[in-house]
Amino acid sequence: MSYFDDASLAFLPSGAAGKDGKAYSIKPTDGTGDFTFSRGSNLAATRVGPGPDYFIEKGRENLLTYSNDFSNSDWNKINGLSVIGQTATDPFGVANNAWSLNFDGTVNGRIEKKGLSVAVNGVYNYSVYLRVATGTQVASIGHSSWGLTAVTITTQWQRFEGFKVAATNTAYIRVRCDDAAIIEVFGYQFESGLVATEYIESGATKGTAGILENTPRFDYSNGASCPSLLLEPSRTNLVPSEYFGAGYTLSGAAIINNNTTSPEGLQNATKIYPTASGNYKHIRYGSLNPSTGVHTFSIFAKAGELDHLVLIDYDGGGVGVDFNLSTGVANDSASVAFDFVDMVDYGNGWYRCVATATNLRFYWILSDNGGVSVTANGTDGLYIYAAQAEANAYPTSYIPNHSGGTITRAVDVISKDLTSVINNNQMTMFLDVKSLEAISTVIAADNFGDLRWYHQAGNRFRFYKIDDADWVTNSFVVNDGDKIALTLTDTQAKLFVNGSQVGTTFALTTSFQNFTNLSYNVGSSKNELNQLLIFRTALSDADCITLTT
Amino acid sequence: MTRLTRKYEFVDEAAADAAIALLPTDDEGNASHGHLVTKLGYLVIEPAVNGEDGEEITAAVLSEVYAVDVYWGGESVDVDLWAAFIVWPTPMGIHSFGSSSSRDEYASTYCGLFPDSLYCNPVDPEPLNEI
Repeated sequence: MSYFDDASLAFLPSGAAGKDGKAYSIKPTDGTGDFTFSRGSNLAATRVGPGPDYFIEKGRENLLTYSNDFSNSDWNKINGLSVIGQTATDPFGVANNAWSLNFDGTVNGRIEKKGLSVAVNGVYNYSVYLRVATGTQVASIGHSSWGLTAVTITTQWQRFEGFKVAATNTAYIRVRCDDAAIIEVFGYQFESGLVATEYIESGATKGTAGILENTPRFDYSNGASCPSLLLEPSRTNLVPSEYFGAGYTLSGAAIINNNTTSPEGLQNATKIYPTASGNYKHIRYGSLNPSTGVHTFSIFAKAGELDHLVLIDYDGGGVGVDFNLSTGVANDSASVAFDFVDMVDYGNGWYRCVATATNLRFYWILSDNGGVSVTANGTDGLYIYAAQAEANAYPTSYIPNHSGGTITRAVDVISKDLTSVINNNQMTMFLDVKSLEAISTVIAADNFGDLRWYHQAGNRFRFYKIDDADWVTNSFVVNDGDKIALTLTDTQAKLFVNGSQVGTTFALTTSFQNFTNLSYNVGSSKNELNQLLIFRTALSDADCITLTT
Repeated sequence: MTRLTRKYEFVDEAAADAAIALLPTDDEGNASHGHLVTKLGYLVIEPAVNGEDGEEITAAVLSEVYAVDVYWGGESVDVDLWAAFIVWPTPMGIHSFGSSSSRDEYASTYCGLFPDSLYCNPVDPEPLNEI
């Protein structure tokens, strides 16, 4: 038989088909099989994009309205600045799309965006394309009370940028010139983060791109050629920023911002190097020292001249986990303190270094060979990017944060009214899924005798029928990728996992009825869903064994 | 639909848990609502002062009230259950839910409630006609 042909609903994330609020099924093709997707977080969610780069992708927004309409009244024209018109060819060759601005030589002549609300201590980048017709011209961009960025404009289009930690809650972004000059301007962008990202045009509302609030995350982690649908629980990143210059303490170490390409594919990774030889030359984040309860800490790191980054337990005698950035092997010499240790390869020499611990006072130590000592020469170091601390026993995907506070990514949930693809009281549900331990409800299917799929302690899955209070299957331990088939008839339930029936056939007290809505990940666990099929009938044992093999 | 970010304070964690218990649950006791409740706890008012090697010199000063943020889902009627505990820190306080639309909604509502606040009437540190 062809299982695809026989399925009444087929959801395969390998097609990476979805949009904001929707995850498309490939069968039926008329849209009646599509899932509603919800999360509600755009700025706190990421995915690993497709190869060959496998870059981390974020949600992005240009906080400036009318980002390329400098005639709009949202832009104040001050001290002799006037707009000649949209008369210049932009950096991408589009005629009459860049603006010519005339500065008459009045000091502090400027075009300035009306005040924008920002988060104090948040990290913001401003960027704009500038050009002059002849010669060179000195000007400045950014917001004055945070410190303007001086630029030298030439006859070639250049995208100038700068980043600041917001010292006030309102930003007045501008181009300023104190001389008489005509300057061509295109595409001002103001966004969270250390570096400018690809320009996003905006109009009356802010421009957005990348991961939107309800964008399903088709994820290509671990070099996958086909994506899975990433469904994660809500998590909070307690680290306030990707900027290691604020909120951190550097002891015997220094940093250089935006020094190399990060796993995001942008020049926003930081070099850290020891400034003096000796023991415990480190960086630590003050407000999480010590952390209370179980936390998982992670940081992306890449070897430079140094290739050992050590996470130590300050209260545990100064021993810790040695993350060898050349071999990709983590050596845990503090097995009592660390419950979970991992190094995940993100390509191009980058590893996500992960450790879980309880009540940890943690330092990231620079190391020569995995111990606590390092030799300094004033330049040699390694690279770091995007630290995360989350209050749980395992890591989730990176939660970007530039707010200066903490940020929570909401849970990913897909849901679907299955009335049209189910045959009243019988069906087969097939799942190809990788799941991490998280005690929760994975599937809630209402009005079908209220079927529940619970993820229980010990990484066990089990199906339950609420109205009869029956466990309708045995439990089984979830491994690193499982194929699961649940069959239901009027009288019985059967479970097959990875080519074998689990437990015995269960005689139902009453049959399931009137299946209406299925919600997946409703209880907030971490799943990578590779395939979901629904059949109108209970498949035979042989078919289920074949299907799950 | 824009989800609402709202912020609350309770006398202690038990009081917060009592409010959370008012939210709908199924017959298994599991949350059946679409809201996201994030316990922030006793917020740090003054951070601890640590020495060069990390030893604590001065302990952190914590708030005396227990903070909880809620990201209200579709059943907005549940918002009323917590009305007595709502607070309005200057947007967005120290925690957010990573939603640009919810952040903007909170700021707009804040300025509707506190139109004379400094946040809603920012003073340009550099006057428009400054030379």
